[in-house]
Amino acid sequence: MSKLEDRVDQAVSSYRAGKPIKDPDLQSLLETMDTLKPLEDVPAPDLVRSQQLRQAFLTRAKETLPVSLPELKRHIGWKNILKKERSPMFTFVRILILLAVAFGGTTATAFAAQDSLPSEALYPVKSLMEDVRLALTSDPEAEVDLLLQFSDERMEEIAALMEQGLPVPDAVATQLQSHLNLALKTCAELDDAALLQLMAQIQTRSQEQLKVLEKLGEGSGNQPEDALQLATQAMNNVRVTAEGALDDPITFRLHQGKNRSPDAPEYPDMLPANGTGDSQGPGNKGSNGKKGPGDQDATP
Amino acid sequence: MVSQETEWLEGARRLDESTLAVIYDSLSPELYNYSCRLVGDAETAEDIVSETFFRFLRALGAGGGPKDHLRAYLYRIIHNLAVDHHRRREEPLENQDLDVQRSPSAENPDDAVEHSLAQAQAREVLWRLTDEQRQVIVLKFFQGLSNEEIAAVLKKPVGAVKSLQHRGLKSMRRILEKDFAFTEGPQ
Repeated sequence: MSKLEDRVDQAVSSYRAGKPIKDPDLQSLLETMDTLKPLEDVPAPDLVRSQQLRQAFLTRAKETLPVSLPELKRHIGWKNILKKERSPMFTFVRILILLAVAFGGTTATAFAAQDSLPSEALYPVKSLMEDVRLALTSDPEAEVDLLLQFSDERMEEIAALMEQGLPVPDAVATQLQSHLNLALKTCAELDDAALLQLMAQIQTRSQEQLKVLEKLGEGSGNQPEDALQLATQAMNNVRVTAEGALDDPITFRLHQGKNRSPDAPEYPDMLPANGTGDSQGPGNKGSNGKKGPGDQDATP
Repeated sequence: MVSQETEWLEGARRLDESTLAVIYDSLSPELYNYSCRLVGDAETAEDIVSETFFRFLRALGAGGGPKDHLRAYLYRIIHNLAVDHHRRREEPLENQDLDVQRSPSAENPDDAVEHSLAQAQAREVLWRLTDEQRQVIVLKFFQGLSNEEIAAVLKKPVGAVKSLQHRGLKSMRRILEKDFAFTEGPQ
C-alpha cells in the first residue's frame, strides 16, 4: 500500500466527517463523491410487506432442520474421500483390462505409466488411463474426487519437472485448469451438504497448493514459467470460487450452470425451486406485479 | 459488533428462532439500505434482503454459513444478488422505472423527478465501477463501514481496501469527466 492511498483514506475520513480537505488534488478527487449524494436518500420499505417477509423467514427457520453430524463428517481430507464411495482397485483392474484389450499391451506398461512425467514416453498411457477412469465414473461425488486426485497429480508433475530443471509444458497447467473447472462444475450438481463439504476441502487444499506454487515460483528465478503462472491463476480462481460457493451455494450453482447448458436461461432464478429444503422467499411477486428477483424461471 | 456477532452465530447455528429474529431485526434495515442503493427500487431491495436471509438459513441448514463476520457475509450475499439483478435488467437509463413517488426528499413532482434522475445517474456511475470498487465506495461512504469491516466483506487486507477506494474514486472521476461532462469545482 502506498502513502498516497493512506492520504486518500485520511481525506475520505475528513470528507465523511464534513471537515475541510487541505490537499487540493485530493479535494477535487473527493468532489466526485458529490455526484453520488442523491443515493443517501433511500425510500422507506413497505412496513406491511416487511413484516410479512420477516414472518416468512422465521417460519422457514422453524422448518429448517440442521444436517446431521455424521453426514457432515463423512468426508475428511482431500485424498481420503477417494477411499469412500467406490473401490479404486476395482476401477484400476477394469482399466488394466481395457488397456490390455485396446493395446494388447501388458499390465506392466500401465503400472509403469502411473509415475511417468510429461517428458516421458509412457505419459500418454497415463493420460489415457485417467480419461478411462473418469469415463467409468458415473457418481458426481466420485467424479469430483477423481478430478481432484488428477489435479494433485498435475501439481506433482509440475514440481517434479521443475526439480529436475526440465521445462513444464503449458499443457500440464491447462489440464490442471480443466480438471479443476470440471470439478467445480460437477460440484454444482451436488446437494448443499455435499457441496459445502467439498468446497471447504477444495478451499483449504487450493490454499495449500498455492503455497506450493509460490515456493516453486521463488525457485524458478525472476521469470517464472508460463505454465507455473497459468497453474497459479487456475488454483487461485478455484480458491476464490470455493470461497464464494461456501458463502452462497445458489449463486455458485447459477454461475456454473450458465456454462453448463447453452440453452439454459441466461439469468435463471435466484430462488431455488420449491420443494425439499429449498428456500422459497415470499413476496417475490410484487404487489404491483413488478418482477422481483425471484420471478424468473426455475433454477436449473 | 464482533463479539455480538459471535454470539449470534452460535445461536444461528442451532437455528434458535429468537436469535434468528434478533439477527433479522438488527441487520435487515442496513441491508435493505445497501440493496436499495444498488438496485434503486424499494420492492426489489426488500426481495433481495429476504432472499439473502433465506440463503443464510439454507446454508445453516446444510451445515454451512459463515464461520465468523456474519454481517460481512450477509453484505456479500446482498451484493451477489444485486449484481445478478443488475445484469438481468441492464437497460438504458431512459427506460428504467425511476420509482419517483417513493423518494423521501421529494417535495413536489418536479423535484421528485429531478431527484430520481440524479439517483439513476449516480447509480449508473456506480455500476460502471468494478464490483470491488463499487462495494468499497458504497460500504464506506453510505453504509459507514470501517476499512476493517469492508476488508471482512471483501476477504481482502485493509491495504487492498484502501487501494480499491483510491482506484474507485479515480475511476469515478474519469467516468464523470468522459461521459457526464463533470468539471471540477472551484479549489
